[in-house]
Amino acid sequence: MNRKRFRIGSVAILFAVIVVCVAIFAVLTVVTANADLRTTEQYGNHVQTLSRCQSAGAVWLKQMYAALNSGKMDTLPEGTTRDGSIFSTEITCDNVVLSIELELTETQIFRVRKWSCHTIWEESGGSQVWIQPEE
Amino acid sequence: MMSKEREKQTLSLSFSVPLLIFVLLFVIGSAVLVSVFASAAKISRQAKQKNDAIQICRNAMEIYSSCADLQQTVAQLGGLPGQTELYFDRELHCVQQTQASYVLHLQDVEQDSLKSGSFSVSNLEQEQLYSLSVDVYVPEVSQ
Repeated sequence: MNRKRFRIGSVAILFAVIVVCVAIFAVLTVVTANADLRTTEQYGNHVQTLSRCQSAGAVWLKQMYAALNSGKMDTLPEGTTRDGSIFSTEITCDNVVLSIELELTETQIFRVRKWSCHTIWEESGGSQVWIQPEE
Repeated sequence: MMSKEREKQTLSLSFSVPLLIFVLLFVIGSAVLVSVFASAAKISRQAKQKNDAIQICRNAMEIYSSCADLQQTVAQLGGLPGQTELYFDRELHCVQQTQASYVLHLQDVEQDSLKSGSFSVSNLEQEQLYSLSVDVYVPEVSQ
């Protein structure tokens, strides 16, 4: 009787292995998708910060022109430094710094010498994936 | 006679019960895995849509920042003059409304000599994916 019994042990083990493998793939897929979404959200926040920096730069430029047009070049906007005819400032929004340099020309207009954003690097505190071997 | 029939029943049960349990477990496991894959695909689609929306908004913002003119921004993005809504496909090409996957809404307001451009991207279900606004100052230079 025992010989005639249908044995599903080997098939069950095979299917169990397949299910476990597919489950691992499923978990990896979800983790990757979540990481993609998180990266996208971080990128979106970074672009928002860039646009806020640009807007703050535009407001500073407007204040500079207001000072120039009113003839009060001694009362410059806060955070502005002057070096002869060069006016510069640094505007920080979160971890983005916008550096602006203006040059006052002889025709009493500002020429933009520099308008650039850079990001302050911050250590993320993530796991270390490689350690430099000691020599 | 009776004992043979019982033996048959026992044999039938000993065959079918583990098989049924095994099939049931396999079906439940498969259903769980399919739902996990489906949720991963949904998250992935969301990420792709949001990333595309950010790219479209950023392009529009960069162009607007350089020219401070909405019509010029529309033209450079591939639209026609007077349009305040542009349609983009999945490859981020400006297309007709019928082929679109994303809609870019553009708007600009001038206040206190600062021009403020607002850009928002939504999908075809009118769900807003991303929005961005930027101020630009254009000095009036007396000639």
